[in-house]
Amino acid sequence: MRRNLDVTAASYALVLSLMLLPILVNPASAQIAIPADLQNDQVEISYVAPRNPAFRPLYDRYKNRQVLEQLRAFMAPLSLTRKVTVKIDQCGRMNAVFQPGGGVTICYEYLAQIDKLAPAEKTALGVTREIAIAGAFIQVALHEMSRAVFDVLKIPVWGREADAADKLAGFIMLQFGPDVALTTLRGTAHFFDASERTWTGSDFSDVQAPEAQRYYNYLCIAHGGPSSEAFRPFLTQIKFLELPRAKRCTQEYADLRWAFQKTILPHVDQDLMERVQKMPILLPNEMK
Amino acid sequence: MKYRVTPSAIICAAVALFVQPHAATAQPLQNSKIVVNYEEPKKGDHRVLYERYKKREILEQLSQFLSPLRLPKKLPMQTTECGTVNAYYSKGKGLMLCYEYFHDLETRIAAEQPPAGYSREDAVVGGFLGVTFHEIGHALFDILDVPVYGREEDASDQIAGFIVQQFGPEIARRMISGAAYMWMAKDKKMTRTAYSDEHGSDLQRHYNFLCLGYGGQPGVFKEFVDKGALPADRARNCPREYQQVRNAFAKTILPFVDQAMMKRVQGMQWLRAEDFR
Repeated sequence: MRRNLDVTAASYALVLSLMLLPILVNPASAQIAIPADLQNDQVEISYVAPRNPAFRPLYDRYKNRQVLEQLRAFMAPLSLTRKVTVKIDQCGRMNAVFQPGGGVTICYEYLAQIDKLAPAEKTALGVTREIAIAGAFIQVALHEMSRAVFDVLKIPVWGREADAADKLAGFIMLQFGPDVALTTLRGTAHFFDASERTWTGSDFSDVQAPEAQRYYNYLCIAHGGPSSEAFRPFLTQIKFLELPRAKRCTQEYADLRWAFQKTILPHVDQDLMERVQKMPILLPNEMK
Repeated sequence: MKYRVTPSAIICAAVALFVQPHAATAQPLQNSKIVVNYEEPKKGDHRVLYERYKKREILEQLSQFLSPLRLPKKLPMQTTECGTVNAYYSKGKGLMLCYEYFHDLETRIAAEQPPAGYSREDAVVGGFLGVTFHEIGHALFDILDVPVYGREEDASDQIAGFIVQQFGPEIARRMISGAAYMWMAKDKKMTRTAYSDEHGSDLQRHYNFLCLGYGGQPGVFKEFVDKGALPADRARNCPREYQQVRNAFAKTILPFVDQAMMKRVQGMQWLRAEDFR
């Protein structure tokens, strides 16, 4: 049946965020033990030491928190047909462009921008600095991994690829309950809201969508997904529910869920996924 | 400055000839799952379109054009008065091609002087086909249960831009640039909340069409890059974007296409120079 999500898909998608969130949301969080055999041999990770000393604190922070190791563990159940290198590196610009057959690069420049745009303490909408940083990092990590997964698994992608990667990232953020969904998606929304600039003329030729468009795309996924009620106060506050788009978000989410079920789920090892699911990685107080 | 053109006549003639098989090769081509209807409008301006479309059998010819498609269920297609400038696909109603949309298109394009490289005639015809194939794209995604990861509105534009490139460089050049110009001419200032729309901005759609054209047929669309109409930064990525669409089409739509019949459709002469005069 087209519109029914396989529960397994949701569970699988849950794991990544469960693994990544605590160490990002709570700066004092200890490193998480990852079973040595729970890895995806096709995923190679690397924290490339930045040439610019200004990025050194970022290098230390992300390496110490083992975000890439956990990303790799999350990828364990996914059957990849080639090696994918995932690295944090200095790019000389905000984003590295994913190339078919290539790997994933998250740029220090982008991580610095995340830090820069995060509020000193808390925004008027209640987004704390920790939520802003965690949400934006998880967004870029999932976005870039989504592009690699599309490429490796040769998934047919209709629509602009960057938007498709955003939608898959948003879908994953929503698969683990309202608390985590609120954290990641509000952090993501804050980043794009704070990033917004005025677009004119040939700006619109960019392969990436305008920040405001990405902002609304994520809000629509939030509104259309399983945590819609939890998002209602936030979406009401920012007047999203008054927009015509809001009426169609449930269908947009159903279509996205269907795409995930049809194209990615067949590449997931169910046994391995059950093991990943059992990892005690999310401590409730770390989400507060 | 106003330019007098006869857009209704152009669109009827060109669309008819685009979708009408050349007489010498005509064989019975029909998609039995497509049900067509011309709804009689109330407004006089729309009446003109209604009569011309009906006389030209545009919907019947679109049905013939789509004859290679193996659809699992009925697809109604109708021209209708919608009460608003629109064209859309509805699960219940099928393809709704609104007289208001095409009246607006013709009026707007007739009043514009296009920049070098574009033409009003191509914009009217390319605009009509771009919108019609866009809505057919929505229909295919729904009826064939196609997984769509990106924004469906962009995906439907990709379907339109891909289809019109499968019939030779001349049709590709004129239809893609025509559709692109239609969106450029429509461009309006974006407010913040306008970005919430599920459609891309008019200029995004303009560039997306050009990019798909350049990605599919670089030699044909090179002039748009040379003149800066399609910025070089975007142009570099266009072959990859076209390949992405081609792959998606091959995996999700092509399994429902009768290849032998498709070759027949592709091999026909759909458009002649005099169609645009």
